[in-house]
Amino acid sequence: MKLFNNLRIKMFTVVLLVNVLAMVLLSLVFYQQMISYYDREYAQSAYERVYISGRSIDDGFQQVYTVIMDTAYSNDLSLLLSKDDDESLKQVAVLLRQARERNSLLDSVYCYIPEKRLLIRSSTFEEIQVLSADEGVTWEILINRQKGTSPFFTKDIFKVEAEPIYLYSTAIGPDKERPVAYITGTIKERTLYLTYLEAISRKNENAVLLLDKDNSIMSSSRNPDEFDSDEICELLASSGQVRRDIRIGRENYYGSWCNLPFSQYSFCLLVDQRSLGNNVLGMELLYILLAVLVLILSGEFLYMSVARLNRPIERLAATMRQVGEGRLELRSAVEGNDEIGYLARSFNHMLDRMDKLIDNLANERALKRESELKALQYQIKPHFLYNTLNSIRFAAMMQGSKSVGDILASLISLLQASTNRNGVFTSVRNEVQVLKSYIEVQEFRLMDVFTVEFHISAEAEECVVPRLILQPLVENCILHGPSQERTFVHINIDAYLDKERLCLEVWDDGQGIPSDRLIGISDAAAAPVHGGMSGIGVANIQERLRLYYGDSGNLSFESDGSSYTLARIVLPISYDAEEYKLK
Amino acid sequence: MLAGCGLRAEEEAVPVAAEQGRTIGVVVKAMDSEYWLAVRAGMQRAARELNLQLVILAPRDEYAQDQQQQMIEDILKNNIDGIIVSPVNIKQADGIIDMVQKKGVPLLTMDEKLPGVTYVGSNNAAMGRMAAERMARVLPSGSHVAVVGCNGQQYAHVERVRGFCEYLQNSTDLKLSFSIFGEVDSSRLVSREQALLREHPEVMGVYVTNAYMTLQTLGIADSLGRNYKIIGIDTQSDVLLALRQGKLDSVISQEGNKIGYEAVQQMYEFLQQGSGQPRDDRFMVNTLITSENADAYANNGEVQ
Repeated sequence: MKLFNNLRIKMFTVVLLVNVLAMVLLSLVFYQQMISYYDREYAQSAYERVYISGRSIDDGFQQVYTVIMDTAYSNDLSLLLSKDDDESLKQVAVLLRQARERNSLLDSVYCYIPEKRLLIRSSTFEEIQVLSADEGVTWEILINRQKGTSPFFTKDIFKVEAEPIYLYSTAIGPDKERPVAYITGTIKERTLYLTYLEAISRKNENAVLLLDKDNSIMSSSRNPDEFDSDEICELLASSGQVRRDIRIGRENYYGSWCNLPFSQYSFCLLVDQRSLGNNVLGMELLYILLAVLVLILSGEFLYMSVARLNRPIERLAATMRQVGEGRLELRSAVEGNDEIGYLARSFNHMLDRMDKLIDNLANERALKRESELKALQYQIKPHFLYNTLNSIRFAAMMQGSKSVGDILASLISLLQASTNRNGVFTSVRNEVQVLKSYIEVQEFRLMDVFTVEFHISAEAEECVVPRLILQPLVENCILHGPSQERTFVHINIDAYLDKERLCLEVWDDGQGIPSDRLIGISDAAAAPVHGGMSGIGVANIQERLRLYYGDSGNLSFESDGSSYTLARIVLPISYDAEEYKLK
Repeated sequence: MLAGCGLRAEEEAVPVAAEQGRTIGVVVKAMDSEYWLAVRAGMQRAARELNLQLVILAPRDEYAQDQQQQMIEDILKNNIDGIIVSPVNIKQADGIIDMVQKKGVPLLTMDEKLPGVTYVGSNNAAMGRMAAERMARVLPSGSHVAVVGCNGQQYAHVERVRGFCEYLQNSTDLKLSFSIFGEVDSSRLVSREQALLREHPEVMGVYVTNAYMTLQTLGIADSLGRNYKIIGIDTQSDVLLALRQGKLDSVISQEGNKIGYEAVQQMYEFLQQGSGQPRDDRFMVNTLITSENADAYANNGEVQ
């Protein structure tokens, strides 16, 4: 199914399916139309063949009829018959031969004179014959059965083979009840068949039938016994001249027929439906082959077209994927001005805007942190300078002593440290040095209120810490540690390494912090001032630790609420002043 | 469409399958002249257009009365829906009508009028009058003329002669020297005509009622060294050639094609109605063709 995640395959599959569906539908419609057209055209074509052949047969019969009539009613024959001598009879035979020569269908022409039972033939063999009484009766019965313009179908009684013949006969003389003579012409069934029927029945699958008005088969390309007379009668009784479902024996036939108005016969052509089926099957196979070929070619064309159309989309998708993996500097190629081109341009524009937004955001964050730190640092300075300057002012008023110079030296050192702009980080050693200056200043201010001991390990001295990180804690010890009961406070400042951490501790044995306040002191920003602890200083330290170290640095307090307070800062060990500097 | 009258079946228009129509039997006088060939062509055209089947029979010539009688008997034994007859002998009339009535199919006559039977063809008496009028115009006053009625057994020829003679007598000062009719065959008529013309040297004009005898009269005139004003009937090509050569004065046309077409159409209309007999007689237009308009007629088949 992964294959179908590809847009090109989807597009190709959809278009191909639509194409196939359209082709199938069109094929079905065209196939139906083709079969219908083929059937209709075949029906008309078959009928035309039958009609033309049938008219030829009828034409042949009429020509024979006309020859017989012309001969019978010719003045010459009338004259010869009136003479009643042998020579005249011979001349009659000549006339009969001349009549026979007028039409190739005619096999024999006879003149029968009933009064003398005399039969005159067109043939040169026994051209004049006196029939026996029985022969005369038989012949007379035979020739009298021909009625109208329809030939009488019988067997030639004067030939040994008794071939089937078509017979035309007419009586001549003023009295039709007692005619002077009969003129008769015969057509061999085989002659008629070979002249007209053979051509149309040349294919084995065809059957042609010539039927009289009683629907008896006169001539056929097959054994007449093969045909079911009921089926034939049903065919000829149908109003149309074409039927498609005639069953003869085990086979289905396609039948077409026409009336022959002169002979009153019917002419019928039967075509084995299997032969038509073979033709249709051939067309079907050709059609399927063409359809498959067209499908393959159109599929190839579609695939190439879809691939070409899809190429910009694939490029855009690849670029998007790489951008999603972090390569924001990439841009998609733009091809054309269509929807895909518009999409690529929009995507590139979006990336450009994202770049600007990210840069702006980073700058804003850096500026914000910087300003926050500066604000934190400046929060300390005014407060400290205010107090210090007040002390100097009082000392100068009251003593005018040399010690004022020392204090001022320490104060200057402290001011330098607090206003130092050469980085926000400094070594523990420097921080301790600054702290000592601060302590000296405070000792000058407060006089014998506290004492400070430093326990700085050699490993810890080289570590770097944020500048003035301990000063607020020491200030808290000095300002808030002493109480009415305990006026002198011992302060211990420790720095050491514990595993991978740098620990900075400020301990005092002052009044401690009540437990209820100890909890709140961790959130000094929320509670800026509370008993025994400067909220501003603690909050300042905590915020600076969060900004520089995140979760890696923290400030905690420990106190029994009455005799000591321990503030502990834990930091990652760092010897590089730039390592945690805000970028 | 027609079987056995010289036109090959392949040349015929094939009707669409399932549309074989009614069958009409036709027995004409003959098929030995351009006139009858034109009649047959017109009938075939109408049959194609109206989807009818025709069986057309014709005796040897216009004198073959017995043969035509037999043909009518034969065709009435066929399964036909109507019959059109041009009898060669008006004496057959009763017999034909009886036979057709027994068969119970509608009867129409063409070219030859039978009493009480609808007719399609030329107005034969009018043609005779047209010839007499022409004769009076081209011959000097008081001239003698002769009349050759080609077949006295046919109403058409009798009428043509009657119309001519009546007009001659009533409307002109021409004098009739003799009038003869053919009875048995045309060769006897030619002999009689030649003998009579020899006996009547005063004759200056001859009116002949068919094309064959018109040409025969021309031959007689040549043999006698006479220069008659000959007016004939029918416009077959050799007659028109003689006309354009100035050997004939004029001929009166018969529109054989239209007569054949109209006859079949009349029968078709009747068969569509389904009862009774065909309606009124239909007379076709006849035109006098002279050397002046012979070319136009030959080219267009009609004269404005």
